[in-house]
Amino acid sequence: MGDNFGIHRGPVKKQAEGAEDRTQGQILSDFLMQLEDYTPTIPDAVTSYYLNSAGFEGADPRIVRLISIAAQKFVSDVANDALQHCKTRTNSAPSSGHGSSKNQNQKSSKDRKYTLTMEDLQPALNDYGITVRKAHYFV
Amino acid sequence: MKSIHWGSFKDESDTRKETDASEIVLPMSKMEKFQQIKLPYTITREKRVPMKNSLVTQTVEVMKQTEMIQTLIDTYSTKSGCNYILNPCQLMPTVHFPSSNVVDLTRAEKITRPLWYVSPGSSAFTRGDSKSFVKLSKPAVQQALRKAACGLLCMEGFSEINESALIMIVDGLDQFLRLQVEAMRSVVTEENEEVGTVPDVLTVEKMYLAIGRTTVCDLHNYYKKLMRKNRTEVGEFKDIYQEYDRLLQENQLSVQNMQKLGDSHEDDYMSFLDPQSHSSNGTTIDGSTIKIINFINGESVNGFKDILEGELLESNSTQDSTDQMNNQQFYQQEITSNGFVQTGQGNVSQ
Repeated sequence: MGDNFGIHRGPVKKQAEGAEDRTQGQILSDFLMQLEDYTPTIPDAVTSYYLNSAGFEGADPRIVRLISIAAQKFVSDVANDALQHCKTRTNSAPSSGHGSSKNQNQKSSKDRKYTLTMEDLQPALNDYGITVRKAHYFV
Repeated sequence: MKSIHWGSFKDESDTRKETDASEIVLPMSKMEKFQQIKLPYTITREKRVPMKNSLVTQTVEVMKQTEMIQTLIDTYSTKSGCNYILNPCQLMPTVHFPSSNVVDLTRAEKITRPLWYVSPGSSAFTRGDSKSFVKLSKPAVQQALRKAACGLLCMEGFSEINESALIMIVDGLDQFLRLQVEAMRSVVTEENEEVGTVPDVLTVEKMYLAIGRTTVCDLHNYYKKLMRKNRTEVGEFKDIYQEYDRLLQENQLSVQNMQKLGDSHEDDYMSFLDPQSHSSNGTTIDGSTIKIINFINGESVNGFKDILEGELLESNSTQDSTDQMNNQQFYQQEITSNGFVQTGQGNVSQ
């Protein structure tokens, strides 16, 4: 009587690696096909302009849309980081007036309007590899 | 400014004139056909680039509407835990939102399910058929990036932006797009492969891994986050709209009640003249009650004086007359001690 009762099984590790590669590639191809419904904020014509500037043709709309969504994600991430910087800077500022209750603090933070300034944008862009130096004449 | 060509004839015998940028140059064969057809419109080189992203547009619109309703609620109701109308006589304004800001996500279930659960259909896009895009100029690209950046900033929670910060973020976005395509070019160069001018998905994956150290499939999670944000904002809008609707109904009901109180029926009007008459609902209105009503309505000048004189204390017809006398005397003694001259029993004057 054999160890595996006559059931032949191939080497487990190689099969797993192959399955992973196929799955990863399959996921990517499925994602490409679903890009038709994902309308990015940055138009495809704008992304095609940048592709042309590097010597590529923007013929495949899936590739163009993929790059557009990547750029959109970049702006969202930078904006989110800048908002966190803005909130931290606003909350750390000393509050004037009488001590307020927790509800008032929550309501005031909800009603507060945030303005994007260079002070918050500069560190956010630096985290993503874009070094920005504020000119002296900029407010 | 007239341009001077280095090869032009000095005696101006070159009869060809320089074409402007807005003119269309057609071959002679097409020119004849074009003149024969005589189109009702003129062909221009104006191009339109659609910048429609229903998800972002709807999310930003819903956020603005939520803020507007919240402002209305704060203005017309108290800021306590349970809101109620501040001034019942003042009508709250009604708002009407357009129904045109609807997200046209035809296959929204793709966002909620994992990638491998949805089978995509075959179309020109999914097959990767080549598509030509409009050629844009640099100013048009900058304008499009500016608009896209503003929409995304609104969605993240910013309400205002400095002009310098807007210039900065547009430049940053421009730099990132250049970084992406240059990274793709470097990936192609490093592989030493003769790749055509059309990049493939593997090149994009390697490029994105080099820049962001993550896979391109993370963009699917990013879009799920956008959908989640949209649903959160829509849910918040619905909650606050229900609260506003409740306050509006309460306000309208209170205004209607105030109007009814102000209405005078004929029977009630006649009963004002006759103290012992019956009102429309069958109850008896006696003299003291009339005086109270008159005092509240401001019709009686001596209403307050009558209250002080204690005439209202004898209003109850079931009360014993002796008790009424005792009460009246007690009240008159108090007034006397305050400096009033007693002229007679039941009559007090200053």
